[in-house]
Amino acid sequence: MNRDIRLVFPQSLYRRLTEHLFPGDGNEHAAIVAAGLAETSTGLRLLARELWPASEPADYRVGNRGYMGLQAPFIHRCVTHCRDHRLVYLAVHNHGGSGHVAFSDIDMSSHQKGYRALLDIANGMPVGALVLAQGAMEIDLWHPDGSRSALRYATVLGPRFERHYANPRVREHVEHESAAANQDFARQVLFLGSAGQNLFKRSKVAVVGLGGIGSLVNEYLARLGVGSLVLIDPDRLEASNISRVVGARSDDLVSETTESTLKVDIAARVAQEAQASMEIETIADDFARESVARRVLGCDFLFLAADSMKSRLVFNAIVNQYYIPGVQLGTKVLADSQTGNVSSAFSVVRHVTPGEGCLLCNQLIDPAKLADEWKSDAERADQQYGMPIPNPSVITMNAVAAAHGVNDFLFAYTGLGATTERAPYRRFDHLTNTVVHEHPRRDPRCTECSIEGDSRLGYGDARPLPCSQ
Amino acid sequence: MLPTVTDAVTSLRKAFPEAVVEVNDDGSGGAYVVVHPVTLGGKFAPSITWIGGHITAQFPYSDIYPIFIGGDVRLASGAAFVPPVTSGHTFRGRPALQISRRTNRLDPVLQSAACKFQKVLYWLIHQT
Repeated sequence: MNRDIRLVFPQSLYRRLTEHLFPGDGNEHAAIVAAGLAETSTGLRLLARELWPASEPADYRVGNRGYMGLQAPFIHRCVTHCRDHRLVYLAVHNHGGSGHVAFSDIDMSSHQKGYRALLDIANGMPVGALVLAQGAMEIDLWHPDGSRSALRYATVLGPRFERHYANPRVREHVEHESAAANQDFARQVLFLGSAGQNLFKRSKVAVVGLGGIGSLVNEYLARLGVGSLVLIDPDRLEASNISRVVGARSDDLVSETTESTLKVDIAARVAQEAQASMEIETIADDFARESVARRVLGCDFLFLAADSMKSRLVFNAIVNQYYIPGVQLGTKVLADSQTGNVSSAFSVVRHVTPGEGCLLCNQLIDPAKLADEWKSDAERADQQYGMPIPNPSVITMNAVAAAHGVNDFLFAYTGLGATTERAPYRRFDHLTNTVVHEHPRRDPRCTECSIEGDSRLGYGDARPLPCSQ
Repeated sequence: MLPTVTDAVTSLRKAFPEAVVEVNDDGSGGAYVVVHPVTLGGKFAPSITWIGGHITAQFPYSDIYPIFIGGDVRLASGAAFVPPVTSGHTFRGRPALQISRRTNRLDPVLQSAACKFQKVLYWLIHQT
């Protein structure tokens, strides 16, 4: 059996599951989880979307053979729901102990008896079982082609990412399969430990937008030791960029014989100089195109440093649909049109975690600006909206957003951050030298991040992304 | 065209069953649409015209904005149009009046192309 499944939980669902399974009575309890399925460049991911706790004895009770078992009506209700919504059916129960867990012989026997029939009902979707102990979990996933898979590891997305393995041996194997050249990061290892540094080495991170903020994010990630970067930006360098695109040189600008260097190529050069062994994928294209957006689906984290609404919409959708957490970074300087006086200068860091309120809920994706971005220059001129006026941009303000965004990622990803909830949105006001912390609102009917209705939350490959062709 | 855009065009055909809905792919999955004829009523001359707009690839998250009608339309009273109705534009090569009415608090669940076109027509007929 291949150990190739990654399972991702939003923290709220994981808490509800563990509260149900471990109420403190020491008994065995059960539930069913419906999970989205994502086939990515880094393997198969299950995205825990819905939870049905099994009530006792109606849904879960002692069967004819003397063992606890889920009851047929409950199973049928859940597996047909999964079939109809293209979700993966996972029957969950708990064992005692902590730090390691495995399916018992009785468990495996019941899978053999029942899962072929469940696969027939599931109509092309995998089905399986999940068993939890304190701090450990294991999967037995049955694929329609008859193969089976076990758990590589599970991630719980909270203020810090928790990772759960079946046992310490699996953990050891996964964590050290790409051990970092720690001498290069010796001073960091003193803080992160070898395990933390290896986590970065195994990580794959996308940076959308390689301008003022994105170029800084790129350098920070490379120097942190992130193993793989996906860099996306369609633009070439302009003279006005030199003051704030890290690594840009005057010979990157257009000459009589050459075009200006692509921003992604400048970023790749900077990253390679910082860490020669890292894998870098450069995409000089629009993130809103489906063929481009799909190339980040194997990533562990997304940095959005592009200032377009088109990119925000796609980023927001991917975070919620594919459970890839991300952060939107930006700076803005506003000046009075009459006097030219600067009225506002701030940097923002907005973390977007699946199911926790999103950019759409918080009206940060402007529908009229979205419409405007799809116009050609000629259309914009005819409609007298004029050419977009560039926002003032200064490297030091960009650095505030970039450093905080990457630093937050460092602490969350390595598990070194506090477990207490932090305000996901921060606004650094440079005129008043203050920081405003905000909790985003969560629209219970949001099409992106709510569990209600027809939202895209956790659906993985079962839904299209809001991209262009 | 993307399925969301095709559905939007279908909604226009249902909402304007007597009209022709011309559709031109924009190359990115969206479409430029023109619905004709639509009736504005005696307040306008001519009283019958066309209405059009760009349904982008990111519809229904993206507004359909602005909306256009025939560039030869005038108020029968002789009064001039005022913003958000402006003259001297073109839409897909046709002389056009531009109606810059954005949808505030757009809900992607409720947003429909038919609703947008009908709301703008209603506003034009009853508010100008």
